[in-house]
Amino acid sequence: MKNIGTILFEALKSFFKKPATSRYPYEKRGIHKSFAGMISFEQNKCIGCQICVRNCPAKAIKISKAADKIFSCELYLANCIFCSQCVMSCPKKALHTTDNFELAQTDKSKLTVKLEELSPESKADVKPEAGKTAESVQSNQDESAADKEAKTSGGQLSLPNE
Amino acid sequence: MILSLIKILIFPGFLFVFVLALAAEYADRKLYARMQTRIGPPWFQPFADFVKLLSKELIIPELADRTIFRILPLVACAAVAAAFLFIPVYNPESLFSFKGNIVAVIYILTIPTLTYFLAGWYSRSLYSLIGSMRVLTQMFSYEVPLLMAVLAPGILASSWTFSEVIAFYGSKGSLFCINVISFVVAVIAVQGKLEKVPFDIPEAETEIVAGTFTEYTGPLYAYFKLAMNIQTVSAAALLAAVFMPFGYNLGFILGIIIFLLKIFLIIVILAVVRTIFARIRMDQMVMFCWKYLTPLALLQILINIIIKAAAAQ
Amino acid sequence: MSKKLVIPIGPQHPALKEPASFDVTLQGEKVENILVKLGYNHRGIEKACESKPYLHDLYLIERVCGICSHSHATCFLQAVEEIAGLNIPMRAKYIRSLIGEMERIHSHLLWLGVAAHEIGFDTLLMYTWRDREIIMDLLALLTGNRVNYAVNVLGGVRKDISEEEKGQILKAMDVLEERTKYYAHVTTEEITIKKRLSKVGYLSPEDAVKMGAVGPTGRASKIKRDIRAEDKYAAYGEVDFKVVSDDNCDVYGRALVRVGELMEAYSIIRQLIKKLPDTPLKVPAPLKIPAGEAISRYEAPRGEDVHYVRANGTDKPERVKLRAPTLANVQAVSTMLKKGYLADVTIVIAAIDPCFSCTDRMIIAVDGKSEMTWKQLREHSINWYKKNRGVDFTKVKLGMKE
Repeated sequence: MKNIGTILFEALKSFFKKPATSRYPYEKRGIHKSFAGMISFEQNKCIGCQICVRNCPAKAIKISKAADKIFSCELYLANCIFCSQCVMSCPKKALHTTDNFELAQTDKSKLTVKLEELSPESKADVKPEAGKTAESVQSNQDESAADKEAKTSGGQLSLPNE
Repeated sequence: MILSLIKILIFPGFLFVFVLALAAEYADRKLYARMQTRIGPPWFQPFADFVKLLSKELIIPELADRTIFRILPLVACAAVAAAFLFIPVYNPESLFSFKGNIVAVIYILTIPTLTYFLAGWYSRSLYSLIGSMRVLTQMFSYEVPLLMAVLAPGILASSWTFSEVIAFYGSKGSLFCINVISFVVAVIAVQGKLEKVPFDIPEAETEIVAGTFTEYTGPLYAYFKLAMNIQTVSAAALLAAVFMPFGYNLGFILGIIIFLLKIFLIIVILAVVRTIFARIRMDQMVMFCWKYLTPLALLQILINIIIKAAAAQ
Repeated sequence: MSKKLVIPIGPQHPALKEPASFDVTLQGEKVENILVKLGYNHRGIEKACESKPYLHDLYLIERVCGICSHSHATCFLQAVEEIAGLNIPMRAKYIRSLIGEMERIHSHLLWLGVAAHEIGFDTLLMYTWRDREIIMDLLALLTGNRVNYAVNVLGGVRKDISEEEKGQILKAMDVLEERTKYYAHVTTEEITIKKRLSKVGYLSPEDAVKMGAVGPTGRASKIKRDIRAEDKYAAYGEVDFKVVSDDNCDVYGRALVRVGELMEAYSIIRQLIKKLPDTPLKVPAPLKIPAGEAISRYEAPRGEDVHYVRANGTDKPERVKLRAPTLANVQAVSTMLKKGYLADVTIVIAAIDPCFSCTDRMIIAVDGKSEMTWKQLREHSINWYKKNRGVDFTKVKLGMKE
């Protein structure tokens, strides 16, 4: 009889435990800041060397000249495989990974993103917002990064048995 | 006349059983989920599923017998709902009472199983065919111990009528505890009847897709699912009436509460059983039923006969 | 019921997570014959590799399999590095082994859940997958990704492991070890699991050799072979571990081997963390790889993974050939299922931990015939080598009877 229903005790114990699943779109679990989600772009650092474009295995990134010595970076999210090779290749560290992974879209055109125009507030729904200068985007990004650090500091790894 | 109609259609008839069936499905799914550390569905999920399935497209296989294919889910629904009408809810008298209605209920509860078999057979699909063969094989293994287990308490009461069994045990205090062996046997057999893990062999998802229901879609599948749920409630009510024959003469409200509690208890047991086991194989199921369940049920009958003989002296 | 039924399991079936087809001939509930059909998932990865530079190939190869992505990438890189004559720093080797072992943990926990689901034990599936989340989280922390880690680069690894991360890894290993002990207890004790797994899918050691079973499938049939121990790649020469094998020769044995390997993996990771040497992460790698060819072997969670790379001095390989472990194991399925029941078919298929999209390769029809006998295949290869390479293999004797 001892080996009938070995898992019974664990099942009953689980009944009173907090569920391991979450109601996803309403409750979000934090993810590590080192997560290789969508990349971000610092326009003032880019020198337009095109190494990231050449090294991208999925042809997902495009650097084009916007003005004299100012380059614009376009990312095709539908192509991107999130390998962060471009971040590795960038000699001036103008590209960074972000923890933004909620990139699903119903509108195909929204999958092409001009990275320098992306304001950090509208990251979640990837809406290109025009009319912001590179500097303001830059400062906003720094702020939000600091915010996030404050929020997700502490144990990042969630262990169910704790 | 109107009162009887109300009783049949609303309470404790079809509407009541419909709500109860959905509630039972919710309780089962929620318990199952929580024991697996999942959140589980919201309370209206079974109803939402039912409505959604009703609105879906109905596809009937080309080779299937169209008439029988359409009729079977309704037959299954009707049979299980009818069975519920004969089971006492808050007073010892069921809606329609006659001599030997325990036996009648067991037989009516067999009809849905037969419709599952026919549904698989007339779908003309390979998976359905195998599923329907398994339904029959399984039925022949659990039906005998179930019948013996459910009838065993009646031997002591010298009657196979609900009201008389309840009246007999009601006057004898805690004598009903003697039937614990057959209660265990009956719960296991009911698990087989409801085709749930570890006896969900006829609809084993990872083996034969959905067994007999593979070809059923939309509204027809909704009725089959409803029939399954009503079957759960009817079987639970049957076990409650036979093995927990107390709390029937306490008036309307208290009676209903006790009845619901008993049903809930049985649903909890069924949910726990389906949580903690793996599905067994057909041959193991047949072996298990004939090797362990049937002798246990026989033992109970023997005990009851001996007690009865001793009491008569 | 004397009429024979042929039940198609697949290409679309709830038990199969990827398209593959098994035609099961039934006599009642008993399996009489089983026909394995692959080829629903051919993606042309090998050919695509030839048209891309090595840097891109690495990411492509990583996507051969969703579970053992690191295995394929490492295996491919080992071959390329051998051709290029690169000497990988020790720390990179350690990190490669570390991620490889973590991948093994997540793959085996995944398998445990899938196997439980195949036998209708969904509770165990939920528990194992919940605990698998720990290791997935850890991988996301270490590499930035949950599945395709992209931790390898030509000449080393990309990401370092900090002291803080070491602590988190060790903490997670403790939790997982305790959980694995519980699963070992459940698998060995619970009667319904034992009834469903033991004496199912019997593969005798002789058959295992004949069918070429590798990895846990082979080790459960007393074939004590593990590339980690035989051909100590990466950092496996530096750590102590034993090759887990079992003599049950059935699905139950395969489950035990995998649970045992989980326990070994925890110990390997602890040793690797403790010994992690302080060297640079990578050596500079050339874009153009000199001409040459190499075969690399790697013990993926599912068994031996073999990659062959031939370079021709450009930045693109001339030929890449990969043999995923499933291809070696899937042949054994029909042997395992002899005299089995229909109910066992899916668990036996699942027991080799199949990954069909890694496996699917093209079949080239010779003279319009799609099938070749062993003899024909040998003749074909001898002629090919004579014509194209000027090597005569006629005198090579085979150990096998022809």
